Amino acid sequence: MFDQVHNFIIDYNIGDYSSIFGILITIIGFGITLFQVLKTKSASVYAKDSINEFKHEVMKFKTVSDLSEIVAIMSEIKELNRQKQWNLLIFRYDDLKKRLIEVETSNLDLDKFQIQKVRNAILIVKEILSKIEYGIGTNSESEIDIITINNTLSDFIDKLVEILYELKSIKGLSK
Amino acid sequence: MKTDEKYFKIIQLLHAKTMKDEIDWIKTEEDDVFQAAFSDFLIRIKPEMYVPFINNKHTYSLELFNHTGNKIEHISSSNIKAKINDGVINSQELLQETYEKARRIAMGTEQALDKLLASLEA
Repeated sequence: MFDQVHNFIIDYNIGDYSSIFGILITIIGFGITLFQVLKTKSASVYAKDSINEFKHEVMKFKTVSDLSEIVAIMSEIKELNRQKQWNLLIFRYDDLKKRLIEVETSNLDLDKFQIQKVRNAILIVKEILSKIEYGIGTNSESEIDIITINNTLSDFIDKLVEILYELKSIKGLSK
Repeated sequence: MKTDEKYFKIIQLLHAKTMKDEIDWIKTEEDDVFQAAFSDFLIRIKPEMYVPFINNKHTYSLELFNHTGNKIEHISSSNIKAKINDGVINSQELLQETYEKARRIAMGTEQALDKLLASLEA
């Protein structure tokens, strides 16, 4: 009986078929493992992308929030200019300058042209601040040209509102 | 390249780009001063108040600021002409032309004239 089975295996090359079958099973197993690994990796990449997208949205929201505050401070400063509240203005201009520099250096999702508008605003605010400090220091506040300064601030409010509009128009912040 | 040569080159390039409307000059808190922002720097152009007129004309200067508004350089055409023989006349005239064009860009003069012409021709 054992001899018959042995002969049958030899006659029909059953050993070779077993080896081939074994190799096939190994390949299929490897394929399944590879598929699982890739699936896990793509899930990981997807999770990473989602986190980056979330971070991006948070940054965009922060930029909009910061710029809105800057616009509000500029409007308040215009009124303080009219009232000639020089000592108070020094603090408000200084605060405004710091906030603009923060937006500029944080590079929060602004394009080249938007950054240039913010940089222009930083220099203007810094120069106005110098003028007011010089005026206070030399008792020549009456020579400060409030009309031109307020016109300049109005121009910048318009420019910053344009940036806000552009940022809000981007999908995700339109509501 | 020597510093003065760099100044002169900056004046030339600024003039060329301004004439081609490639620089977005804007108004400032002073009526006769205009500024433009670049990748890392800002430039202001203005007439020099305390420098004597040359050939009955204003002299002009450029001020360079870093991105946070700190002044890093003052370039005056009256200084450069004394040092660069070839640029004696050019730097002065280039800055004057640049200033006039910068003023028109900042004030929106060209667009206003175009719109006025279009209205009159309609």
